[in-house]
Amino acid sequence: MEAAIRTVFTMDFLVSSIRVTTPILLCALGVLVTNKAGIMNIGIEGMMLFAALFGVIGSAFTQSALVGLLCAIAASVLAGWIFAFFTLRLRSDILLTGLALSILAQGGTIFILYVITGDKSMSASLNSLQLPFITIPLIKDIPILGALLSGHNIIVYLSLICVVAMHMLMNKMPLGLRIRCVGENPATAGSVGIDVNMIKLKAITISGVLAGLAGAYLSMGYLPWFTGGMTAGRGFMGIAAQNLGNVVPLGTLIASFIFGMAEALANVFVLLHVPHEFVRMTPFVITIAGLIVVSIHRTRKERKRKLSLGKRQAADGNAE
Amino acid sequence: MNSRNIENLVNILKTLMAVVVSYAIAAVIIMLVSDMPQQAISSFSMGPFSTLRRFGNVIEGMIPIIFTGIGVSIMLSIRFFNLAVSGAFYMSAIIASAIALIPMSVGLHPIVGIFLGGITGAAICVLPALLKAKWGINEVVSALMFNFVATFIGSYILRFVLFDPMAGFMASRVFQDTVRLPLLIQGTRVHVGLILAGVVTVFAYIFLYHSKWGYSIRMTGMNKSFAIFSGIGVSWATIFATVIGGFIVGVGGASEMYGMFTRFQWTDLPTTGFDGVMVAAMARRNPALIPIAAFFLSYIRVGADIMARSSDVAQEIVAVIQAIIIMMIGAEALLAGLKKRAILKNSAKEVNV
Repeated sequence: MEAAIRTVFTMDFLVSSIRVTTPILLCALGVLVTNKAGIMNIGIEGMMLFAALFGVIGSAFTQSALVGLLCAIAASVLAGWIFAFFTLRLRSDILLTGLALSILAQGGTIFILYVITGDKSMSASLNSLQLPFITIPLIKDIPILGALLSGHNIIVYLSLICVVAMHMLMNKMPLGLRIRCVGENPATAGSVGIDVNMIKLKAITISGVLAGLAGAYLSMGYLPWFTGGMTAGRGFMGIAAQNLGNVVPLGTLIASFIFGMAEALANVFVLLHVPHEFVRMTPFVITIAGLIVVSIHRTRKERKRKLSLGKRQAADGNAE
Repeated sequence: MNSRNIENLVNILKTLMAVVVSYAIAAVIIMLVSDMPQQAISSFSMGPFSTLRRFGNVIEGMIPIIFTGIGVSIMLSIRFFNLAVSGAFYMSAIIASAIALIPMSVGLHPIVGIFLGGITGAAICVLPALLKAKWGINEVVSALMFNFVATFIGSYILRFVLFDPMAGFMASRVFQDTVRLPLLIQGTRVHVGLILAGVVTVFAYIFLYHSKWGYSIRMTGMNKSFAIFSGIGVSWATIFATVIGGFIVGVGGASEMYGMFTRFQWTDLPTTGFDGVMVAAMARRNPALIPIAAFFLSYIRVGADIMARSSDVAQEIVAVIQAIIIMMIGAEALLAGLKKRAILKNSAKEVNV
């Protein structure tokens, strides 16, 4: 136990937390944007898995990490469009379709991997590339901060930019306003001339790009290869994190980091042969508790508002 | 013929279409990737019927899917999309395994285990419903969280409570013989759980379609406002449905353990919960049709397994078939024009007469 505590207070631990947080954060942002548009995207797990595989394939066959990244994003967006086609055009159930997409990705990626490499478990025989790790010139020389801020994979930095971009999109841009409007009240949005399905498609596409980044990070940064089912529930963690973060980008960042820290701590526990299950469980329990607290808060606020409304009406009645 | 019959016919047509389209796509994929497509396709489609043992594999594979399928059907009847069935199935199997390690008398042992498995299933499935009823929390998110929690608790129990250091792999100690469900068909592994699944199917059908409670559940699912208007307590009906459905899922988890295994060795959530969602969608929440859908799913799995062993195509092709079927069956807009025309024509005829 002592050893565990000692590990936690090292720079390595924080750095590995950041590494683990990144895919969860990207996924959470991807879920956030669809959630704002009124779509519960449980298919994001599948989108990310497709991205992870096609990133590896793309970079192995072209020997360019950039092409690999683009392949990953394209695969994920394409998976998102399949999801969109069924839910928006054919009006399939959103949850069932999302589940189906996850099932398709779980089996489909292994099928494709087997066709290409003849191996079902991993893509080690493919000579795939990794996305660059970035050392920031001046910052890397600062004693403690240097190790923390510099030397991460490019996607780690991109994910932080995505948090800011998502904030801007949701709060400062017309598209963000339309997405929120469509999510909150599609009928009203339609009545003022917004093409509801088009906006939803755009939200799903953005979600696809983010899931693509997350998938590419997993197979071309976090690990240098693809393994079957390597997303390991990170899409579902993303759903939890954006919920815990109250569906705003900054909150999502903090919540994702909580998930990342728990995962990193669990990894430490595994090495020390201490039961890691309870640490790993913590963020999910926190999420449930968080959901309860948020909704209690909301119902209280609503009751208060109704009460004050009632008082005002009573006052109005007396005045008459 | 009335409008509802037309709707049922269109639904059956849609299901058939989904099966045909998914098979066609799978066949095209097999032809593209395989050097021996004929061999692959024939072992995929005919393999499960070639020997008694293989047919037995289909039957034994469909038993747990019937349980989860029926559990999900009851919950989906009230439009409660409860993914916690996965965690419930897993957890009930663990609890049943723990019971199986305790010495007990012959007849009583499996009954106690299966009953406690059912209780476990009900307890887990009801959690998202409780959170929804009390605080209005989205059931999809909370169910996913409970699945993770169940996985980790299960992994802990397996590694530190039930673990057998002599096994040489991650597994529990060997179950007592008294707990084993007897075989039904010699030469296969088909066990008494099949009869139990049949009983549950009949019970669930009568419960949903010929009882007061079943009616309130279906009515709430069809039209919530009308249910509230007619005095049905929506929250209570949801909780009730998840308890019953969860209990059935748990019974499935326990009987799967006692019928098929001698040790507990799942380190991750089995897909059986999601399979239940798929067959419930295929059967359109009608318990009477669940065994057919479960048979189909188990049949394509066994077929794909045989194909993978006798040709160069991986069995994961099943995922493609599954996904296409789930997506197409739920598609409201598919064949909507046909349905509308048929209903209009029929109504016009009725008015003229």
